[in-house]
Amino acid sequence: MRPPESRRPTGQHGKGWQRLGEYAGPLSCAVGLVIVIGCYALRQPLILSPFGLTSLANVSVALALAAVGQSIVLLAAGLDLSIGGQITLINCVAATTMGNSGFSIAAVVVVSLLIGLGTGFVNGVVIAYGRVEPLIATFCTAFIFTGMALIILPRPGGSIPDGFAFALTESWGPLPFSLILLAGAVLVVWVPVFGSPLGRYIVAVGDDAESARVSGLPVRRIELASYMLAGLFAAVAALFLAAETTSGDPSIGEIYTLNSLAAAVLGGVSLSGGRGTVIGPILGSFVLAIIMNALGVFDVSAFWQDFIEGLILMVVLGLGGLRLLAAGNWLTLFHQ
Amino acid sequence: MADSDMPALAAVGLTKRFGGVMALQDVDLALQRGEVHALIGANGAGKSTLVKLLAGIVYPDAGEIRIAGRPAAIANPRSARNAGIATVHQELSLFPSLSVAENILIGQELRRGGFWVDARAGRRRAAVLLAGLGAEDIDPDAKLGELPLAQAQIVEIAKALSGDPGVLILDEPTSALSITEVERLLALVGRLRAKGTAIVFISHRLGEIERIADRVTILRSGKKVGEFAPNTFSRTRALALMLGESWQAGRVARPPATPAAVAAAAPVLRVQGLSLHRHFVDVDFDLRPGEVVGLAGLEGQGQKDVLFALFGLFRRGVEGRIEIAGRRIHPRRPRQSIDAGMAFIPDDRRSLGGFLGLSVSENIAITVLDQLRRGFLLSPAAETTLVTGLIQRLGIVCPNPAALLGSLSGGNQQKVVAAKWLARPMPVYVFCDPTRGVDAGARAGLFQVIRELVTAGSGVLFYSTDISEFPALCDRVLVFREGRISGTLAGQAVSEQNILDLSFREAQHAAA
Repeated sequence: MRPPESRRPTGQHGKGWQRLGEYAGPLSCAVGLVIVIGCYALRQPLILSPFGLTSLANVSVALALAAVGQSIVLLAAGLDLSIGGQITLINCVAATTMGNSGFSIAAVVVVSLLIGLGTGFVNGVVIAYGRVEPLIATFCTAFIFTGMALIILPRPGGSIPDGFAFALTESWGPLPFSLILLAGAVLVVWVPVFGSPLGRYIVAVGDDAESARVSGLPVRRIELASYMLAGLFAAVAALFLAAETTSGDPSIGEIYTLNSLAAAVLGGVSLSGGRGTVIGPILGSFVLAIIMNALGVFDVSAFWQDFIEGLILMVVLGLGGLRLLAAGNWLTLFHQ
Repeated sequence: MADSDMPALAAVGLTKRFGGVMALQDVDLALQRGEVHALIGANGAGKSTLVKLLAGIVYPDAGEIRIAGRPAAIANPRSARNAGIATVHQELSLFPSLSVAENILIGQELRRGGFWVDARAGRRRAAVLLAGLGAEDIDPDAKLGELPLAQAQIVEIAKALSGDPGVLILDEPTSALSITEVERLLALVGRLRAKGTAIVFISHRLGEIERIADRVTILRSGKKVGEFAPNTFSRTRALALMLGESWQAGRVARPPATPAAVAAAAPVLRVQGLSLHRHFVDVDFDLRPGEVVGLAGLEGQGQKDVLFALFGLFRRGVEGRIEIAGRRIHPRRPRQSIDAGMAFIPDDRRSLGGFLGLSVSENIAITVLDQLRRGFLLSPAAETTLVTGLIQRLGIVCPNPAALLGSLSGGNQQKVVAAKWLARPMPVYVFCDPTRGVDAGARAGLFQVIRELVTAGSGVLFYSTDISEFPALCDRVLVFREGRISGTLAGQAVSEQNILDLSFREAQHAAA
């Protein structure tokens, strides 16, 4: 584009409003969360007790972990439809091998995290080096991961030691351990990644891959890293689910693929890459997970639950597409 | 220093081919320290390819690049950067979601504790680099996507300078800048030169070249056709070299002179005060039945965007008046322009006009399916009659009408895309660079079709990136420069020389 000169003043809106606009996703999620919990409490006041809040946290944290992983991939303008498959696989491995000794628990945790990095590595290699579309690649690997889970554990089963389950799902006064786990994962993984150049490169690649290449960034390694980080978060989610259900289940991950996408978009992460926060997808996950939990608790029939869940997902993902309509030119719209 | 008279960078025998097109052929270039070396040439002369080779974006088929006398393997942008070559790209290599400081330091972040990005130090460094460019007014914390293009251009320059390069390539750095900003940039180039940086400077403004360049290399059709040593530059000789033989021969292949009847006829398309922010300003012209009007100019001066706007490809922001056959339209989607009587034959057959996976017949009939219906169903007989007729008329070479469009040659694909609009006569035809990637024979055939269309009473708008096509085809040519019509040529005045002249004419800078 070689346009004629334009002299439009830069800051027509105040800077504060611009900053606010960037946090529109997280902010609306925070408001939504208050409303959702408020409505829940009207029907079931016990939900505001320490026990109730812990149970709300516990139904949300797995999705929040998955959504944070998904967001890292989305920031790099990728997509991971195998998040659910990775969760299932790692959950089944953990539940069948954990045993009871402190040593075996620690070993299984480490191995689970390594498997997460490995599944992410497979996705990243196929996409970044094999040049397969993320949609197709992760759709396929999702089947592979789920298939492996079914080979290991054909039916729900396995066992998780009480100590491990307790450590992740109980609470310390009003503070649920599950939230500490989530905060820990963010502090240990997200904060260093996005405080170092890698995080900036992930955003840059998602913003404009061609500019990134021309700027000399190692684009493919950055994409690979984003999928491996998503795998790592999937592994943490899988371990948490194992603790929460004290067993393994070869269908446990299914719902996390689309829900993680919806939570990320709801939290303001752009589907076209380059824009997003960490708090947005976390709050988005809490809103979605609590709504879906409420549908079950308040005896909405299972058929309607699926219907409503699908509808919410479509509206949320549709909102992501709505942004594209802001494009001024049909051609950019088609090329998205 | 022993190697002080050795070129900072020397390119030897660089050759690059894209598909069947020889983009660059055996080009030598020697950049001296402390010298500004300008590259000039018309569209498609190979300037951009040369820049891409030096920046490591594409890899040469033959030839090598030497830095300080030693062969350098410039395999990708990173190795170019490591070798001390920084590039200010014409298509800015920036990230709209990142801040100005983050953009400037991308890939060379300042660190704290060997790991964390030191954002504060980064902001300070960015501010220093911007101040060096006289752009203290750009906030290092601003999101790049919110800056006007001229400021983004300056950020791109600051980004290139952040690595303290020994070789700086400036690919049309001034095209988005105002006069004062251009002055600042030229002063900066002067300072860098004094510091010993070797600079490649590409600009279409010959005035800037005259002021700043020590040495000038001229490219035409991928070859180096001349070089001016310091203080020997001559504008007329430069233009002559850019044009090649056609300058001397005054090559003319004029279409028949426009009959008086044409000039008197009511226009089929009337455009008044058409503007689109950042694309084009105040475009006025009429198109009469029986004439081919060319939209010429260097690439990206807004002429193509005018055609896009007429065809409703811009969803908003287009101001001004468009009338087709006397009826005013406000096209916001292609359907509206088509209904008003405009056909559009695009350059990009893949995304904009052809269905490569469908047959020739299906492609041609797609615009007239409603006329081919017998009752509810399509009539295969009517379709065959229509399609075979058009295949003959346009001389489309295909085994049979059922052949897939994707299996034909580029030129024949283009004819099929044109044929689909000939199936129903339209008052206005827009040909948007229709000969891109098309061989000479197919081009002649396409030109014949275009002349037939105007003979039959339509008006044709024609845009091409190949300047030699305008004299061969057009009755009138509007030459665009920086989003405005900088001049109109008619009849015998339509020549490559006159078009180039208007294309390179210094901007009036009415805005400044």
